[in-house]
Amino acid sequence: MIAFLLRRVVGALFVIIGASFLTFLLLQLAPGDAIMAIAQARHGTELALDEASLDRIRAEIGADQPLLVRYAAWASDLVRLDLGRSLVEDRAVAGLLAERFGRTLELAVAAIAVAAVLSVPLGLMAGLWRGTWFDSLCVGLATLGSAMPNFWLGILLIFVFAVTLGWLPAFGRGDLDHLVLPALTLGTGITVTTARLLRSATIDALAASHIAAARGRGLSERRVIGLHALRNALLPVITVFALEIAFVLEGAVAVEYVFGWHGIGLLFVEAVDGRDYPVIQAIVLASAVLFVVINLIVDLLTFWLDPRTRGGAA
Amino acid sequence: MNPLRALQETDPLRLVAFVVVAIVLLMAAFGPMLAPYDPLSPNPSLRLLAPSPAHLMGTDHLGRDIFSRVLAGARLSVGLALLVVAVSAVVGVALGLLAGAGGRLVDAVVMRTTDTFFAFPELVAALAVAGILGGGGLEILLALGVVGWMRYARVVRGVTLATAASEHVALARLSGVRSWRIAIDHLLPPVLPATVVMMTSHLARSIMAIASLGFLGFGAQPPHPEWGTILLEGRTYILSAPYYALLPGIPIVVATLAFNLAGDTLRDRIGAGREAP
Repeated sequence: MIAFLLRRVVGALFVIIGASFLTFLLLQLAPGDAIMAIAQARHGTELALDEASLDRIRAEIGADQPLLVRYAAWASDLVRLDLGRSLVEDRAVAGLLAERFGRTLELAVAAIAVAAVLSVPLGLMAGLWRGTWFDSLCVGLATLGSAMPNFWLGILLIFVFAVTLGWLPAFGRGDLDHLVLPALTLGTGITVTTARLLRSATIDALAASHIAAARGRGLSERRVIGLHALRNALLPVITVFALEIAFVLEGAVAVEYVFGWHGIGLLFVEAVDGRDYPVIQAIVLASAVLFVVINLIVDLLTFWLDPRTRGGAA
Repeated sequence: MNPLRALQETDPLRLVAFVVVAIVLLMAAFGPMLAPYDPLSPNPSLRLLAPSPAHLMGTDHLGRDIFSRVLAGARLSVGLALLVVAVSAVVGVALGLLAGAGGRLVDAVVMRTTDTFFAFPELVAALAVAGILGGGGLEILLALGVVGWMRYARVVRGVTLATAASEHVALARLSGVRSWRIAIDHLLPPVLPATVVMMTSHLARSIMAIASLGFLGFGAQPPHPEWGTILLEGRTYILSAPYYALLPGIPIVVATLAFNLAGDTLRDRIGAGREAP
């Protein structure tokens, strides 16, 4: 058991170190005029540039040293949670991220709540009533939903609920009603994946042999479903639901852009647009670390919850 | 199975999906030629006209026919997705074969690299790469190729581990057949069905990813049309010309849906390409 835990944790650490190196390498993709671009982004016009400020930017990036030396310096700052300074705004990246993080967290929690409320009943009922019109409707909607880019769904919801019906505000911040459309947009993607999985997990669970045995023992259908089927259907769903959380940041990029929501996602688009390399790197790496950590937690949880995996995995 | 028989037994909805896939591919090949109007040159007297028989999706802020721009945009939106999938599949299959047949050390190195690339959310990494390189076709191809090859590597490696351990491969090795010949003659054929299945659903994801990059401002260079870029331009007109903000999204949904359904059908028929959890 301890060997298994150790192996998973060490594996995750390796992936994080590898991911940090790839993130560092991102900067090497920057075209030759990166320094000019940064200077322009910061000072506005090319006229204001002098050799001294260009040199200062070169030194900030460390453009004159060998690759591995630069990685080591960058990584050691990183370990001390020093994410560098934003090149465009000339302030600490950590502060910038902290400022925007609350907004994304707010959106993410609301989206996950939307997904939990929608996907659990829909997925369960579709699975229990397999082959009925309700099941077909759910499967159809899920298929359609998974083919819809979230930014387009966002525009569609703005058109229906803000422009046509006038029920909800389309952009910006303010009361809770500003949260509804972005959360719905972001939550739909998670709902689609989770509901689909819950449906097939329910079908599998109902077909399992011990369910037949429970029926054979004369237990009521309600007890069969409640006690035996659901419990087995839930484990894979918890897994996927947790993994979806890792992708919330990815979904938030386009959703925050559509709704002008000033979170990490919009900050990322702004940073890429302004070639603010330290901010880009911080967000890219944070998203990877989040993914690895959530995966690790899910693995350990599965191990903990499902005794069947213990024998084989350890 | 007799292909005609298989066709008859297929769910009609899925048949429609294959027809739509064919149409989308034809659009990518001939879209610019099919466009009823010039998709590029502005026509100020026709600004923001609502949809009509003459302009099926209306006209944009420069008076260009939106439907013509959607047709011409298929070249980039779908054509580029095909390239992304082709490049990812070649890289992923090659690495998967290498990991599956190259011994434990090679396997460990390739698979840990795959895990590392998998750690990045696709759109976040692609946006960073495309943005740093600067938008444009080649840059998008590179950005989505970097994040697209890992699934292929993982699945192909799994299949290849089994093939490489089989007797006929051992015999071929013993009789001195060169390793690249073994790879092509023995290791490659068993991975092809799963690869084709993965490519179909990867096409759907790539069409969506290219549209997302375009919508975020890292797509085609104006005035060239691309589905996500058209939506980016149109979204500011949601009040005055909602059709401009909404209608160009339909081809993205239809194309993604068709490739997804086609991928599902192929997977059920071939029974391959399911990813290990």
